[in-house]
Amino acid sequence: MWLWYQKSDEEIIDLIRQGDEEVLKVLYRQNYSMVRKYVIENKGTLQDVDDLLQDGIIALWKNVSKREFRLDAKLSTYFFAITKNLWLKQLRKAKKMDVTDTHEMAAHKATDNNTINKIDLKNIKPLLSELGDTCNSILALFYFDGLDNQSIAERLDFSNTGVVKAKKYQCLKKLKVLFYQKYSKEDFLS
Amino acid sequence: MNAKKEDIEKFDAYLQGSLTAEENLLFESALATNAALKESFELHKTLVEAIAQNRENHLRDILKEQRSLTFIGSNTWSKKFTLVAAAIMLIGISAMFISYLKKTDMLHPLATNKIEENTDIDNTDEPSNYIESMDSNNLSPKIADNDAIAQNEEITENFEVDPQSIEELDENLNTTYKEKGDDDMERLEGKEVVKNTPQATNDYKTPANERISADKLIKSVNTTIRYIDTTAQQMDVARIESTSIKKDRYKGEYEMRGRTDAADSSLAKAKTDVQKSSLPAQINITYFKSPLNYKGYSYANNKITVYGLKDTTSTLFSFGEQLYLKNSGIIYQIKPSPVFTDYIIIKEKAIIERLK
Repeated sequence: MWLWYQKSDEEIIDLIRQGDEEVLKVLYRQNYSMVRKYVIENKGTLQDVDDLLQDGIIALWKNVSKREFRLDAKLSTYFFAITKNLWLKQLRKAKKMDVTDTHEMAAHKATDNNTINKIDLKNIKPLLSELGDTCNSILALFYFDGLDNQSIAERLDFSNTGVVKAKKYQCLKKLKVLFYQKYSKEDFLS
Repeated sequence: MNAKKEDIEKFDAYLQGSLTAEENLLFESALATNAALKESFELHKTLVEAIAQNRENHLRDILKEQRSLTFIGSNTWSKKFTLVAAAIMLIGISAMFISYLKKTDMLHPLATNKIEENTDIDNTDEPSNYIESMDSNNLSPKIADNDAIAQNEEITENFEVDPQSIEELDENLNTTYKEKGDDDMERLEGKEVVKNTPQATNDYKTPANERISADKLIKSVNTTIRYIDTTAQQMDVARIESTSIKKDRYKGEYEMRGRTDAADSSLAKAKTDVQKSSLPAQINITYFKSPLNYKGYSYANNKITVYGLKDTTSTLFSFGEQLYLKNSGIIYQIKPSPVFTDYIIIKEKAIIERLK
């Protein structure tokens, strides 16, 4: 039951970098009360707390996965900065600009613009499942987690980055073939 | 449709924003002029976004698992709520248990009998095991020997308290038995058998003057009644020896009643100077075993229910307006009381002497 005790920053970063998805739950639990307090004090609801925690943890996951990520503060401080930025952004969107933000921390690049123009995920998901696990891992690590080829090679035990590149190309090619079996270019060209 | 490796690397670099400004311009102009490249790029972008979205959804699903745990587990208000809910449940269960205990108290024989007496509740599950015939002479010792209290028996006797002289009333009375709860209910009507001896009295197979009372089976027993005119001081004492005996392991009830016609006819011949008592002509005595060593009686509706008396032959006296019950040589005063009360033992010698 390793889930039930607190983890140190180093442990969490290592687990994220190993791709251990269970660490997401640890992050959620460890940061819940802090985010809850902040969001509730700033016109948020419990649903906002949950949304913000999810968004923040996803963003943290992507940032920490990157090779160049260096932590120069406590992880909780870093995470709080991320969630605060996300929340302020959301408030700005909702035109609720009365939140006092005295301690603007490190800027965070939030991922947005996940819209897929005509064809959406539910059409492509069946194709992905036909690809196989290796392809899915490589593509997900590269296009979502933001790992470079070197990191993917290390994570998935490939001998060098050339293999990763070749595999990635083959996988994409296969996916495109699968796509054209069911759809045409009109489905994605706007 | 088949993008080259270099093209894909360019697409990725463009999407990641890692191209220089100059490279960006070149790439965008290429997209604007080359339809094939445009198509290839758009497809790549769509697929890559789908891949990322798929991965993100997977991670969010894991977080949602934790959310459901967190919202119950680590929210302090949830914890408090859970504790309060548990406490309420505990209280509720205790209350149910207590009320259950109280219900079982209601099944206490004292209470049960009381209810039965008043409402004629059927008790059909327990048939009377046997009916023992006895005459009035051997009844008392036998019961005493067997320790009536331990035998779960009920014995109902009928007494007629009447200020008539013995001779006039020395005749057979119709007696009725009422038996409740037996499966083998039978109806015996209108037989007139005259018996004069105590022995005959108890012969259930030759019932005399059987009569249906109410709606239940009746068995009848001849009863010999002796009236003792004890004093010349206007004290009216009627002594009735009853021999109706019934054994019922549980709650069956027998009643035996002296027929009132007989009493009426004799009343007609009664001496006029005898003061008439306001007491009823018949009183039904029911003996109950006392499971808790409780001793007491109730007296209402011409019925006396006694607990804790070992001897099942009693004698009733009326002395003025007072009613006395003599059992095993002890005289108890019986006062009207619908609820069970303790016995009042008479110790005044004057009364004892008179009742002798």
